[in-house]
Amino acid sequence: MIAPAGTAGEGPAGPADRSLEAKLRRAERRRSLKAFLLVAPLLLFIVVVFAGPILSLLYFSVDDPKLAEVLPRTAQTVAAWDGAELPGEDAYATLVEEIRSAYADRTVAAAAMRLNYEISGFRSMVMRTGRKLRRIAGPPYKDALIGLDERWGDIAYWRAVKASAGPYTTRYLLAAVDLQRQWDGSIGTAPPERTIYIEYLQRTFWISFWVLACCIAIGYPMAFLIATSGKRWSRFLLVLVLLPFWTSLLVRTAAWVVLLQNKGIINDFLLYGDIIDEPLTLIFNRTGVYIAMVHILLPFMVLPLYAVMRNIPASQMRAAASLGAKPLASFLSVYLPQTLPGLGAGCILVFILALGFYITPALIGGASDQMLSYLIAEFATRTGNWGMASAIAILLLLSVAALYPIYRGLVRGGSFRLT
Amino acid sequence: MDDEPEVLVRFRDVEKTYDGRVNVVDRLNLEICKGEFLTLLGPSGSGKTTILLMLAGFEAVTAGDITLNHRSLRNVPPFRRNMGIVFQNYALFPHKSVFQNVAFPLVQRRIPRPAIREKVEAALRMVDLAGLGERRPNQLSGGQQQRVALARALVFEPEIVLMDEPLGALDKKLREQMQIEIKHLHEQLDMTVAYVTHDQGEALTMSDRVAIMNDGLIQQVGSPHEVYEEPANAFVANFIGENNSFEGRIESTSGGECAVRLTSGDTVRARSATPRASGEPALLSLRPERLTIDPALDGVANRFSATVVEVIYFGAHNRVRLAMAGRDDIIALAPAGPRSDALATGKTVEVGWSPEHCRVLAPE
Repeated sequence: MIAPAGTAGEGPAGPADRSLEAKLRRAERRRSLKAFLLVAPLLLFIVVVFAGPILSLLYFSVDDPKLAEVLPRTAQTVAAWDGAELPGEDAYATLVEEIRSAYADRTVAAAAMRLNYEISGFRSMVMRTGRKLRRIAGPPYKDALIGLDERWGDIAYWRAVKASAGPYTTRYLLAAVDLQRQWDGSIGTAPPERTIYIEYLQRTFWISFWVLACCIAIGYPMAFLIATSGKRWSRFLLVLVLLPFWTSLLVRTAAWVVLLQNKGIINDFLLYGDIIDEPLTLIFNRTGVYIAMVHILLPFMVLPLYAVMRNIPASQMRAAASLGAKPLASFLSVYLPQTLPGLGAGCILVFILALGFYITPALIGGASDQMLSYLIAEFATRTGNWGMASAIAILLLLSVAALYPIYRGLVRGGSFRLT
Repeated sequence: MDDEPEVLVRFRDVEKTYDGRVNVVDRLNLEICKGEFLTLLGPSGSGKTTILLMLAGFEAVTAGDITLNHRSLRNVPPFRRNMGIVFQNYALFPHKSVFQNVAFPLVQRRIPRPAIREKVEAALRMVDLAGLGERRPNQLSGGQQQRVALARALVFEPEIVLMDEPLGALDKKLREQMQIEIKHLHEQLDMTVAYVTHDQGEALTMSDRVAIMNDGLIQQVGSPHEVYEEPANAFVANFIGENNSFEGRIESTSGGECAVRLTSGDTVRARSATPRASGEPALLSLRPERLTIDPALDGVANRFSATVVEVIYFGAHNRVRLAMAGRDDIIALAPAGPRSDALATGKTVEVGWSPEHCRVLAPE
């Protein structure tokens, strides 16, 4: 056999190359295995405490098992029903039978609760129906049930049952953005008494925005001062920034309550100094929320800025001045652009953390100063509506995720990396 | 008086203190003439960078005054001084391209765009960086960054260019190459340069005049030849180049020449720039390359017998350590050749030097 001319020359080098490649691959494999083992604990930790809860959050926001668990056949029947007219005798018969047994098992309350999310008052209606079901001896169940409570003859209530049939629902996610699904499957705006979520979202962004603005206004000059003053001074100032950082959030918030209240230190001081005649209302309003949140979030602005500014040599500004740039021009064209990565990181940190604030507005703010997290806590701990809590949490999560590209753009915008 | 050079910068009794106790610059009187390359040379902490910073306007003058074209700079902020500065770490703007860096001073001066392009391109050609305008500084080598800094400091045709150890971060070979290039630029552009360095080789090769600083005081100002061959004091003699020094007392003087009796009892003939009285203590300074081994008989008034202690091979020359006149740390440079190859440790040799190369200085 004649080998093609091209391969003849490569013949001798081939095997040696291959073994070298194999060796390299082996070495690389060993190294990546070692690297993997090193990060394995972290990976496990993240999966368990971070990825897991987020996935379960996603699941809870669409999970809707209650009705199907308690009244399985009713759920099946209404799922097949088109919702145009009142369902037939079969559906009523199934419902009566299932409510009867569920009432006896004391499980009906969970389903009633779920139905109440659709139409308020539905819960007591189901419970009363369960209690009075003894009176219904036999068919026709439709007339008997309507006789028991005429609302069973209202198609809206049946549509509510159909909407709750599960096992999955979009109602929580839609509700979180003030929408709801109509009985025919189309999506429309929720009734006015339920459209509070967008307002909360807007307020959350609004408060976060102003907190961010204040943090920039206070943090930028502060970081500049720390980065450019002498060693002893800068260490002292840095401790001032970090000290509150080392105190618990709750303690700091409580301290602000003490400071800001009408008979608190600030008002006492101002009154004593005859600067004001009436105590200022600094607590249970927006002002107090801003003050406390800016104070708590300031280190997150100062530290990344300081990290970047520390690495800008003094000669940069001197060079700009020597080349004829006036102080403001030097700052705008030489200093500021070099601090953008730090400023971007600080803004993202402050804004994202501000979006999720709960304790501080809850303790210092009034009723109209609560943010999205308050709603989450309200649903999760007080009303036990995990679906709604999860849906709002997802809304918050998506708001944060939407900011990520901005952050990437800011960091990549500078040709150098954050250190 | 012919062709008196025009004074551009004048330091008049300038003092600078940071802590109110110690003057880092003391009673500085110095003139920089138009077109001159003046180097401030001194060890670190001698105040040379402070002088440059005061001239640039980044440090306030504690006392005295600095004038530029006979106008006081006291109330002129740095951005109006029109001085190009090359910093040790280049201080290029990392977020701007090479072109934008060089264009920066022109943009600040609101020069029209087409003129800027023209000037920047010319400046980049001048420093051999044509075509690299779109790069970022961090994509360039150290030497290239240095050239950008140079182009940026020159492009707006400043009154004077200040350079603060601009070649300190470069390796030896590149440093020597840049020294020559800066020197050539200085000659071509007829610019005034104030250059700060602690590298005496750099100072000697590049400057028209060198000002040697120590402890905030100017020790000597002169041409490279003057400060090397005719050091004004022991500090200058020791700081610039290698130096052998002998202690002794003046025995007699005649004209510029003195006879000095060394502590070892030997007598040496040497030159003195200033008149000396007999009996005065004196320090003799002798450059190693002026100390000849096996001197030719004529013209050498000082002759000693010495023992070779150590021979260190340097390629083009040997560095020979000798024991003589009661000392064992006298250095001579012996050019490579059959005679210096024959030098061996322990050998006794004849050494000598002529009086004009041996300077009498006041002891420190």
